[in-house]
Amino acid sequence: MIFGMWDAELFKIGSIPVDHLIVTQWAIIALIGLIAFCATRDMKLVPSGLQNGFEMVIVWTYDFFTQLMDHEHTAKKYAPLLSTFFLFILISNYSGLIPGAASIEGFQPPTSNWNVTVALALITMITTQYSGFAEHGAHYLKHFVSPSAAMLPLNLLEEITHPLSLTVRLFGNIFGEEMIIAYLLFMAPFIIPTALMGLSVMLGAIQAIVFTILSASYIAAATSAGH
Amino acid sequence: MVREKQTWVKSMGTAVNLGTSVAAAIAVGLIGGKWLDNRFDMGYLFTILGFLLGVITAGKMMWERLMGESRQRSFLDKHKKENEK
Repeated sequence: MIFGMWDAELFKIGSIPVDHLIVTQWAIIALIGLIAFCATRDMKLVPSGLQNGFEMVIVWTYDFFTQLMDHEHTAKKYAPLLSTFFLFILISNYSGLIPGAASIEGFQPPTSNWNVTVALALITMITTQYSGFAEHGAHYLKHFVSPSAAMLPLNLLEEITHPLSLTVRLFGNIFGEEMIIAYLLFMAPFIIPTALMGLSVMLGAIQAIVFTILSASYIAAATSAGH
Repeated sequence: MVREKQTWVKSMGTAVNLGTSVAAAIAVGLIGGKWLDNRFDMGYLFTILGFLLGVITAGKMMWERLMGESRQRSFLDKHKKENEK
């Protein structure tokens, strides 16, 4: 059991144990993939239906990340990853709102597990370092000793702080919210938890936006001219 | 106008990030220091040093954010005045 969550093994692939959180993530990935496939399988010059909606979302995300990251080429390069982060985290957070999710084994949102948020934060950290090297080459290393070599420990600690901060915030918020809903359902199964579940809809979206905005700002900082 | 649109998105990111980043910097310094003390049996030396390093890093991060916001504010004010002219 990790931080109070069920981690019962469902089955094994070879010697690798698979638990319900992994299966939930597979379902979320399949859902996003299916929607994307349906929207793009028969693309037309004049879009309609799902393609129209998808194009609108893509244009909006490019515009949003261009505003956030200052450079259009950086925004276009990393927008697919950041949009995927947003959709994955949003649907993961909302998967806890399925009726009975807080009390039935196998229905917790993946983002309420420490291991999932660590993995997401590590992807951001690796992408940030990659984007810095891709933009500035070996000169990127200079920012670790900026403004002087004495700042190296502080700058290194700051780099480690970023993924930890992302991890703790997402995990803490979603896990805490799930626990409160679970206890409320236990104490008063009707009506009372509804208000908090309504709040969860807003909180889930805010946490997904915050994670995406911060990932974008870390990448923007690594690729900016200041480095 | 475009710049003004940019600020709310960035400001929101900065605001939500600052608190947890400060806490994370101090926690990483403290836990790292404690681990080093246990490994090398140095009493509380590395724990204190790690804590101080975390506090200084947190201060540095806050200072950089503050300077960034301040630069952005003067940039916006400058453009506002130019537009008014």
